[in-house]
Amino acid sequence: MAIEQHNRIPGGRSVDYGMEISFTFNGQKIIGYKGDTIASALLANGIKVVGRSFKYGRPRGVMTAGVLEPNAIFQLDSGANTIPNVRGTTQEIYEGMKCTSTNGWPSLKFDFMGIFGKLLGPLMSSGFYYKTFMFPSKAWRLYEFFIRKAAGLGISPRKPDPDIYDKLNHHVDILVVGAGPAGLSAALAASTSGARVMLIDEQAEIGGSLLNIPIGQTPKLDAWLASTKQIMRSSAKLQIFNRTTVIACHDHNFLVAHERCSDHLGPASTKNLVRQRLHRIRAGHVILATGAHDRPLVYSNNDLPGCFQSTAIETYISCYGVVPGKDLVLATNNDRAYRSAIAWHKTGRQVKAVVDSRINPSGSLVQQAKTLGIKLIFGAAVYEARGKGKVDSALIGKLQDGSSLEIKPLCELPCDTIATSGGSSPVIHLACHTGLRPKWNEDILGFIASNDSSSMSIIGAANGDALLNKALIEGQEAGISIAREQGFLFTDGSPPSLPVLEVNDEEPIMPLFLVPNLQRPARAQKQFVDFQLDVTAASIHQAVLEGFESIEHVKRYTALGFGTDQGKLGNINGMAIAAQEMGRPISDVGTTVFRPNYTPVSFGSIAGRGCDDLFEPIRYTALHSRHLQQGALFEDVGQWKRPWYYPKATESMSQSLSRECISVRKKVGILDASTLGKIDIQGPDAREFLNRIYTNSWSRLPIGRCKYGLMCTEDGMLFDDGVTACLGDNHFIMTTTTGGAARVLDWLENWLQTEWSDLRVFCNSVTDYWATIAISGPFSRQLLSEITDIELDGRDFSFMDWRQGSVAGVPARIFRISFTGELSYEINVQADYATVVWDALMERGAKYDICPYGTEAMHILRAEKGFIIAGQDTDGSISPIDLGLDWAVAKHKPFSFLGERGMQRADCLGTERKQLVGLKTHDPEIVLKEGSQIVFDSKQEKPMHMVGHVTSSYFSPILERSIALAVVEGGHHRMGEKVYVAFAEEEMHLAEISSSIFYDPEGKRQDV
Amino acid sequence: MFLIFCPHCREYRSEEEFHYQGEAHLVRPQDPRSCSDEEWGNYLYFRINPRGLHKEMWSHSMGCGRFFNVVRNTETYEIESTYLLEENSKDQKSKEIKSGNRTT
Amino acid sequence: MSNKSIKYSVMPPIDISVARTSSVSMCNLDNIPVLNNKASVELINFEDSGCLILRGESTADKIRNGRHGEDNLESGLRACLSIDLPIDPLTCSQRDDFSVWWVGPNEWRVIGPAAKCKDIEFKLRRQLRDEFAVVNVTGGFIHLGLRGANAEIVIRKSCPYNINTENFPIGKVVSTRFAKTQVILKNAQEGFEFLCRRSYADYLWAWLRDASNEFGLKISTRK
Repeated sequence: MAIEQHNRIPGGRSVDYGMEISFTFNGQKIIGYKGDTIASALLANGIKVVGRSFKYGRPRGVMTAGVLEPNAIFQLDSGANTIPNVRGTTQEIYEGMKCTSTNGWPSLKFDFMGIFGKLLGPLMSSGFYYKTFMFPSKAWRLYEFFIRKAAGLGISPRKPDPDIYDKLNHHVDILVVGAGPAGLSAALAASTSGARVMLIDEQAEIGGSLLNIPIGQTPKLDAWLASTKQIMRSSAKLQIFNRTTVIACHDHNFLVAHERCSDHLGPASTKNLVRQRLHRIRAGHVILATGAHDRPLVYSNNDLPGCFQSTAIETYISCYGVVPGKDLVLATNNDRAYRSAIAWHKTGRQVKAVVDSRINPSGSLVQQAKTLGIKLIFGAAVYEARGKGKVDSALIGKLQDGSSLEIKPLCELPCDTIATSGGSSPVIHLACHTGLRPKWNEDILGFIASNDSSSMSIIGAANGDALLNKALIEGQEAGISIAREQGFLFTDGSPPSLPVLEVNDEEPIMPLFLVPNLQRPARAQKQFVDFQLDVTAASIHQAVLEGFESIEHVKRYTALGFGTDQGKLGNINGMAIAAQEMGRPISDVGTTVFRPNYTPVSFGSIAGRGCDDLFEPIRYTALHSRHLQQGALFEDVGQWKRPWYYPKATESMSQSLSRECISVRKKVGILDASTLGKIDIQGPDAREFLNRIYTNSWSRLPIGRCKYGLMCTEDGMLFDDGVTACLGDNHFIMTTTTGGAARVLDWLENWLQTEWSDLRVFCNSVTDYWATIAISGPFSRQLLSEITDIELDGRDFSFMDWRQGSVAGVPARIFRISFTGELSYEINVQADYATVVWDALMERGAKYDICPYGTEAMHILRAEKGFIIAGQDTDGSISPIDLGLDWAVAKHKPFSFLGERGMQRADCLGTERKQLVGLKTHDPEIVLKEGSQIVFDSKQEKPMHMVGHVTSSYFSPILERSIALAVVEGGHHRMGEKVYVAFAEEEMHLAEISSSIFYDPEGKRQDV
Repeated sequence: MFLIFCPHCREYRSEEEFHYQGEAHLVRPQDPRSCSDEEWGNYLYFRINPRGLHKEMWSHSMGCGRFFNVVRNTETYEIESTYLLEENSKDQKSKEIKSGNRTT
Repeated sequence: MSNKSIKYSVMPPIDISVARTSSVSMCNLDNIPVLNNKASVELINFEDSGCLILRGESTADKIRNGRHGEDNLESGLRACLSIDLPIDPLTCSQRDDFSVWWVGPNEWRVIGPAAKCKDIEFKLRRQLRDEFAVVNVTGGFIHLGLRGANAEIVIRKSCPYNINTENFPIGKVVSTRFAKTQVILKNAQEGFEFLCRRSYADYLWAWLRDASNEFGLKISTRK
């Protein structure tokens, strides 16, 4: 049964009275109009309690009409579409929406925490959790369960997000943030200059604070707004984004905006549409016209449903046609708040009184209220709200100046709504994101960002000046001058004129944040500062009393500003209260740091399209289809997908690996080695360059030969390795590890461009051009001879030679190099023709039982031969000498190659460095775990002296035992010694240090 | 996110196209073999870390692939100028920034 | 020696009767919702494009850097392709079915029909020796086109580069980040073209398909 909208009046600017929309709130059916927010629809239907407070479980109602909202935080819909922590004051309703209160376990009406909070409330002071749940420490898990259950905000969806998110890059001349009077005026002026202008506003329609003015009240303004909208719509160079919040302002005018494209339509209507979009904007100039947030006063029981921030009253009346109560008491310290009382009065409902803390205000709005017959009480304040679950009355007291400001009870006014205004706080968050610290301004009683950047301007209320006509003029002037500065000269137009408005006289605001009570905050009824996290004036006082002096510490101790509203409503009051208690000026205490994001952003929009298959590029070789056909399982190597192993139907991994390894050792295997980095090096100084980059000498490598090279960083540690072939006197092709390809090319370019710009050498990546197919095993020569025109006889084409010719009709370079220790050929062909060659080899190889092998078998085969993998057996602290590769380090090259001096450091010459050795376990069945720590003596006291670790470890099918490579202190001179390898506590395995070459130590098999 | 003027492409590009390459104007000792361990250690590991203007090397890794130098204020993150490796930073006073068209 | 080095350095031409493998290995093209009539983005695979990397200093740079060699990049290129070397950053030159794209101050890409690239590679090597580098990377790159009313938005979804017309006029070539990979992007007369490394082809293809989905995507192959 739907309830009627008894708080609805005609004239709301933002709602379409002709379109009813129904939704549910905690299971109850609610009718609102299109354009309503959840909050405005609930208020229209007289629903006051929307949730329970976080810590004390107190009933809470809607307080604001925007992003500041601390209480109306809801969970929308269910299942995969559920969205937690939605602000009911900004989320528009859609047909069928299911909205539930976030706080209020186990139920909104009967709240466990409500009772718990009431009983323990006085005990739950600042640092309550830190202090209380510490002891006994084992009980924390129990405490935690209840705390999380009771305190948690929304529930994250458990199912994959079905929505589409997107990102879009923009480059604009001028970005205007905020489409209130100043922003609209600035964007309108700038857009006539020919500049690319972007205007972004978080609300559903542009207008900002203009929308708070009841329609028809200022016809000139209504007309200007209408014509501005029309001009803007037809402007080719102006882009407007509604429902879009600029959430971050980064260095060099890079801003991020979060657009809610279809959130107002709900999940049902948005299939295949983008739900939210993140705009990445680079702007020549940024104009911040972000306005100001009205700040409530702090008084006792100021959280009772029915307590409002003053501008919210204007917004609900003017935008939504909703009067959220019957009788209003307004408390203020400034002129501007009178507008909400006047608006309320004009709806025909009663204003009980305007309570102004100033002695004798007489500004034009005050006069206007007086003329309307509204009761005004001066020099007074509302110091306490009374009521059970909602506001029933307001306690009003006379303010008296003693040693400090004091209150003397005056009267109690029955009412159901209390609105307060303590002044307004300019929205300076974005201006401060890049590190600017705001300054306190005594005239407006707010922080402003004194910005001296030449590429950012802050205008209008955001800069402290909230007068409407001034904002319009300031906006236009800024729009014109900034467009000119950007080089746009208004050749095709000029800014339209502005409406001439009556100017309201305003009198100064009076400093008032925490309204004095008859008792000290610790004893008075709770005076809330941060409603979302239940931070009270008393808790701030206590933090100061306990010695916290920095506002950053007070914030963290009390949790002030830690909610999803990030303290937008309460922080300035909190800082003022802390400052007062410390006896220091607010300017001295300062603010906490403003950080992105301005409002909460869904993870989906941060991820954008970069999820699932698009999370990270996946690189495929030209032979991928063949690996799929062969049933390969894949391994990620950097961004590449490489075949890991090729299990046959029922094979386990170890059975598959065994078959692959034995095939290579006894017959012939075929491997896709295309992912190895390949760098084409050309130029007259190429040979000299290699001499400098590699540790060994390249001076005499003839055309047609290859050589294994080690690359070190300047500290003498191995960095990459690979085989490089001499193609021509001035032409080489270098191979790198798969993962090191980009790093090596960057390294080469770094030296060529910085230190050795005199060398005439060009390096180009050709990794993607070549497909590399390695065939390895005793039958590889016979197999290859069937489909190549190259003479393969060992005398003509010996180990470490390369030849050019054709393979299966495809031009190819064949390198006779081996990473398995068997007779091997690496066939390189243009990637476009890789499958032709692979298919031919598979077909012809069938009679030799040719077997595709993957990276895992390759690792076993190379480990049997003691061939290292840079990055697996090395970690940036291992030199070639540590690896026993002294033979690949030249002693007498004229140029001191990279790493030479590093290797000569005293520390690198010691004999007790960790050196690469083989390990054979006592029990041949045990395969050591890679990364296991090694000790010499298993009986020593803990902590034990660890002397190294296992770097590679496999079961070798050909040797029928486990093998491992490890780095061990002084390992090279400890051959045959026993070590212990730790698996887990109390589990030690005995192993013997051996040569790292386990199979065919003479290297006969590869050189036949 | 920085907007960096690439002196090779002669226009501003977004930081995500670049790689930071460390302090600029480091020179490898002429004769490494005659360096003491301490001298070599200084060359390898010791870097300035000024508050204020810092000359640093960047590469336009996702663009033209070239290295160049940047004078950046480490306090404000403003980029004072960018210049080619072969240029001395003193010879040019943010001329690229002034001559280049801001990418808007 | 130099003759021998040329013999070894250059791979002979490929018999074009041998079947080629598509550079896009994984994507199932049949799977794409093709809305031919409504599609406002068209993705084109220029299947037969070949690509050469050309490296060296322009004559002006050579003089500035005090290097003297007989060979001359500009005249070499003109002799082989009748194309002027685009010396200004981010420009390109075109003649018939070949175009030369500036990539860096000593780096260009020569794009043309794959079948002719081998011949051009030989010719260029004959013209330009020691101080220059010519690398044939045909098949190592894919050459794609993106056209249609919403092509621009798809590029803006993917790429941080400023493609506003005043900054990215027709004929301009930039090397930049594209999604999570790198491309060389050109504003061609009939839409955008880009070059991307072969191994990223599937990723880029999938990305473009996803980013274009809301507009309707049509896929075509051109020789």
